[in-house]
Amino acid sequence: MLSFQFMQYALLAALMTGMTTPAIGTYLVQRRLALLGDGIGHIALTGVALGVLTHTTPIITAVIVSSIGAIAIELLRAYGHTSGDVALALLFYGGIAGGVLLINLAGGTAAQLNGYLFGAITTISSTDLLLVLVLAVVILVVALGLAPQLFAVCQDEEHARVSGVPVRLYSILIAVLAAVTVTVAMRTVGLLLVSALMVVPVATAQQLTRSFKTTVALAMAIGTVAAVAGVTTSYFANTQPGPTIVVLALGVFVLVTPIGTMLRSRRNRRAAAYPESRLDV
Amino acid sequence: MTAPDPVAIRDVSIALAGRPVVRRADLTVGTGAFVALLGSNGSGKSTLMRAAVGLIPYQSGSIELFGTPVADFTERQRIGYVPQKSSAVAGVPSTIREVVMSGRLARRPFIGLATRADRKAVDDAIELVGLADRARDSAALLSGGQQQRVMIARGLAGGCDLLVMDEPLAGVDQHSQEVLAVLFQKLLDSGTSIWMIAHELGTLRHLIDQAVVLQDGQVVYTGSEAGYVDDHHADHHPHLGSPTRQPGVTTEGVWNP
Repeated sequence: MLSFQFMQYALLAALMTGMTTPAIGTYLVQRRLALLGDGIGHIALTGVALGVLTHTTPIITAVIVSSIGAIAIELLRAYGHTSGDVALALLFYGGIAGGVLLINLAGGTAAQLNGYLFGAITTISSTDLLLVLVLAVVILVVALGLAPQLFAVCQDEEHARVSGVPVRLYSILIAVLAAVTVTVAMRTVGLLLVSALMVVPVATAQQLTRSFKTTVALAMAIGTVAAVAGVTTSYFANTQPGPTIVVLALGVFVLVTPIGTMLRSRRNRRAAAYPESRLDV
Repeated sequence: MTAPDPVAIRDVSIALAGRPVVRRADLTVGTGAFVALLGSNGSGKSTLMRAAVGLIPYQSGSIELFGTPVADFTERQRIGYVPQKSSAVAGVPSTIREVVMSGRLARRPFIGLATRADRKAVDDAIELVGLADRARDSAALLSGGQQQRVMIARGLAGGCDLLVMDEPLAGVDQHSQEVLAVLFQKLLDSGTSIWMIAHELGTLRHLIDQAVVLQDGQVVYTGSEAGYVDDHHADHHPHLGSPTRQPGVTTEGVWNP
């Protein structure tokens, strides 16, 4: 399997996707913006179509368009008196419609977008791979390097603002990071499934963990294993890699859930054993 | 020359979405003082406090923190803020220590790991609120009162000179109130100033240096807590005297002793 260059590329791209998506996904889940990745995925489709129309590498146009879209969502949330979910909905539909329209203008059909909607990891080119590698490193450096600030902003905006943290700037940074992550994962799992890799590993990890740090680390590990195992499975089972990765990630979630329930009830019992807790109602 | 007051609010009016919420309010929190801001729901207490820490703009008057206009105030580490109904629980599990560590942000450089001083300050703050044995537990396992204590520990972790709290006693059990009373006494002894919004003063009553009462956005009383309860202002107190009945509201369903 590893003697094929396309499989080497595919596994490397899967590794990057598996590591980056949960790293940024944890912040989105903490902010209760789990579906932001999905919204941005829709906008990225317009970017892809724009790349096709202008004969530019679609990853580059997708990064630009989805970043602009992500900033627009944040600004709508902050200034537009639009609630987060409505801001998301506006961009969901605009993104899909824009993508299909632009592809039509380029003389193509919506079917051409399939490779981006559901991923086409085995057709990834060396240019694509290089871009994915660079973007993934940027995401990891920012998401882990600025963890204290990003954690504070996602945990309690008001407290962060009084502490002098430029909350709006960081909110935009998180949205742009999510946009770049979507683009990194676009060729691996596809735009429609990217949000799954941002959310499912985090949802799985937090059943077992009690700290933010271990949640991020475990989610990244689960994401990486699911992505690499998914690509490998798809090679032998002759299935599409994107959906295979997502189904594997969901499988881990289902397996872990009963363990998480057991752990939580044990912790609750232990917490109840503290004498002062009994005073609290 | 004496040090400037931690909070100096002069003749401040605040409108939210065009509606006047606070009208020409004055409030001072002196160094080492414990000031309670009282008033019924919707009297503008939170609005005034949020403007004072720079979360929302105000229309006229002046607000100074430690002698600096709030808009230009940069020594953020001097303020420990405990927002209203804040919760230690977000979408992802976090330990008490992690939550309290974000109280160190104003003191930490832009990038880099937490130093030994950061970790010590966090441990000390958790110790002060009486949760040292729970520091590594997930905040989600705590009761409401314990979570409020975590939020106060976060406010204290930066080593503030002024602790600003929006209803820290709401939903807090008796034991937590007692822990807080001891803590606040310690803070006041060390020269920290405290400004808090409250409905019920409970076990903290004897610590209050000054009560400020807002009614319909206006300050109607400033003075000792005891004086407010005992004199003719008693009918303004949200938890004393009989409730004022709005025109058009019948007495049906109202309990009259």
